Amino acid sequence: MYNTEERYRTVVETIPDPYAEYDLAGNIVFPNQAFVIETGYSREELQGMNYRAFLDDRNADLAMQIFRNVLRTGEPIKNFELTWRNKNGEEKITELSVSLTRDTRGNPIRYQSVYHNITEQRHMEAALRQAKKAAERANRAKDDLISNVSHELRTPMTTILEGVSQVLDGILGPTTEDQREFLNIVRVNTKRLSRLIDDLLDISKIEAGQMRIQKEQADMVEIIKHVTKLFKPQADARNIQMKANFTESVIEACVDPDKMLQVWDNLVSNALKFTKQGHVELSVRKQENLVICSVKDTGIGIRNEDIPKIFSKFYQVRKNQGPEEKGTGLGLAIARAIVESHGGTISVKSVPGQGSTFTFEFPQTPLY
Amino acid sequence: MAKRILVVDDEPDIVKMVASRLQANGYEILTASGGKEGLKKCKQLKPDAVILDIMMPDIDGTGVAEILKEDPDTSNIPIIFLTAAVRSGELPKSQKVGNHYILAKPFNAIDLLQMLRRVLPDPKET
Repeated sequence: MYNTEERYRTVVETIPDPYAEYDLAGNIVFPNQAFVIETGYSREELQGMNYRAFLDDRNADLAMQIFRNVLRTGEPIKNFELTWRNKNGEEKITELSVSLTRDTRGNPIRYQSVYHNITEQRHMEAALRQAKKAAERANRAKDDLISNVSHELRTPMTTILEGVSQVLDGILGPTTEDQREFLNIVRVNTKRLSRLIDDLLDISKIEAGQMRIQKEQADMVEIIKHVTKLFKPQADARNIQMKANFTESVIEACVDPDKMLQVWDNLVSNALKFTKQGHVELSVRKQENLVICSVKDTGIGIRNEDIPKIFSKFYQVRKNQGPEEKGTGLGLAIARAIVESHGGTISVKSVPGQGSTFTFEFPQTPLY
Repeated sequence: MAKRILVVDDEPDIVKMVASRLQANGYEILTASGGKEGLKKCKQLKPDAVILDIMMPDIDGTGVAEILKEDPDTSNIPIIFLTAAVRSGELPKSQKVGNHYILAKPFNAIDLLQMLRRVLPDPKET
């Protein structure tokens, strides 16, 4: 018997986790080396020490419940989380497992307990939670910044545009042709600035991961009919034909309709801008679970070397357009981000002098 | 009699621009430089419609609209929100929020005038 116990103690002495045995009153009768190191007390100090000495009232009550339960049921309890203090007063978090030992007649004599230090793990988790909160706060601040900046930029823009428009409209009295020409230049450029602000805000939202996509069932055919109608006056004025093609009368997809409209808007206004004669053709078709949309023009086309750069921010192929025509250099980058947020892709094929076809495709129903 | 429109905005330049545009189109203009003053003038002067900024330091436009709605004296006054907080592309196609219309700054004068005609009981009389 003695030999068995001696051998057993030699084994527990070498296990890396703290281990201790308590009598039924909760006083330590045996601590292993790891327990001695963990608690900071000497072996002599620990001998006969009550478990309550390590614990505050709340944790002491919890520990008492555990001991009582183990004694009552005879069943071990595993990985119960307790917070305790070592001799230096340092707080430690541990997972405690307790079981009962009996004598040869089956009477309970001691509790065996193993401790697994999870302090670092818990602190790590707390730090992660903290970091996550901080990141969320920063994101919110960024979001607020974006919307505040946009408000502050749009307000003076409104006054400039409306002021110039009222002079141009003759509300403040007659103007000369020269004055009107200059005011018109101011107005056109202010509108361009206004578009740039909107596009910049879109890009910053996209880059901050804050573009809100609100998907619903929408008919892509209805959307291209709408876009065609929207651009018809502009196309008519330049003698360019607008066409809408669809293989089915209704092609439903799960998309954010406003964002999709923005994609079409960007592609079609580009197509019209770079087409001097001929037509701009919008099409939608379905191929299994894919919705394939395209905008084809008979315009000036894109040089091969420009194609890889065309979806990048601020890349503009032609730098010598008038302000009315000049874009922000962000439209295609925004279009790509929107299409990608629908799980899709966008690409372009072009022959210089003959025209370009922009194609974007995305799953009809989301894959997730 | 000309319809009376109350223009509420904390930006005096915006108030001036909107007022000038509407006066040129035959409306009579009342102005307020914030939510509180706007509420007071609504109650006292009963305008035919309110053009209401949203982001204002004292009471914001949506708050003003709620208070107006609770008072039977002012609950029927139509409201057009004129706001720089959203861009036109972010607005609902109906251009409506609840019972009220909404227009993004910078606004197009034609849109504003059309919207006013829509919310007023009769076409404008001068």
